[in-house]
Amino acid sequence: MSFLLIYLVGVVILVGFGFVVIFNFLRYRYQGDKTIPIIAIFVLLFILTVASTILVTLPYFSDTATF
Amino acid sequence: MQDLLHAFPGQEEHEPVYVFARPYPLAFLPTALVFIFVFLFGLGLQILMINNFFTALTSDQIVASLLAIGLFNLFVVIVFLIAILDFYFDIVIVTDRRVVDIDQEVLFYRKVAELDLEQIEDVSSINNGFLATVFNYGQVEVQTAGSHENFIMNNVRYPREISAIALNLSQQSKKDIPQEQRVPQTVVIGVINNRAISNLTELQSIGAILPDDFRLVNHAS
Repeated sequence: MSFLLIYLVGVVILVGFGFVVIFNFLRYRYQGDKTIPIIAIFVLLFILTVASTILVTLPYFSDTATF
Repeated sequence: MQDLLHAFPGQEEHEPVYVFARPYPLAFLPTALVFIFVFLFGLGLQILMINNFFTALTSDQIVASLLAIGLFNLFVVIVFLIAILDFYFDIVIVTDRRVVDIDQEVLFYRKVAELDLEQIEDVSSINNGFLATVFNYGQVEVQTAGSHENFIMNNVRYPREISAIALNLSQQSKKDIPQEQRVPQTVVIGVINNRAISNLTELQSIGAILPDDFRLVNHAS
């Protein structure tokens, strides 16, 4: 389980970094440009990557209790 | 519609935008392919691991690897986003009185430089490479008088047209033609968001010039 905890800490740090990146660029966006759609696609990709990683590791946690 | 009449800090009222150019997306293709390859490589490794391709690994080693690759892929996603936005936020603006070059270098470095049209010495354009030649994008270099550093705009669409517009407006400013009468005397009078514009009415329809602008009224009558 400690592996998952380390992973989640890493995710939290990257989410924080991601927010800094997004807010930095939102300041410079122009009305009607494509900044929001670009950011939305990447947020979706980020969420899907986290979800798929957790989903593929879950079976291993149910097999053994020593992680 | 984009608000081109407030396109940069310090833009004056009745200051039409003739060029508002971002880098052409196709120029980002090689960088994008590298990121996509790295992301898919990580994803592929994860798929191989859950299908027991690496038989020598114990199950806790597999879990640790899956999570590490997952973190690596998240990092790749964020760096890819930074690279895209770095590229997307490089903007070149040419108005009837100045050239504005907005350079997003890295995440926290943004340079906004302005140059009066009178200070332009020469403008050159370069199409370099197969894709750049086929899709007509490339570099525009504005050489300046005195100690000002040259303006270099990379990967903009219609580089020849942009250089012609800037040079023509500069010549008009040197002939002391009043700002409110300056219109590029070129075939393409504007390049807005990678689109070539050939008349003032079209420029007005996309919001780059006010409907009551002297030039537009003059042009219509």
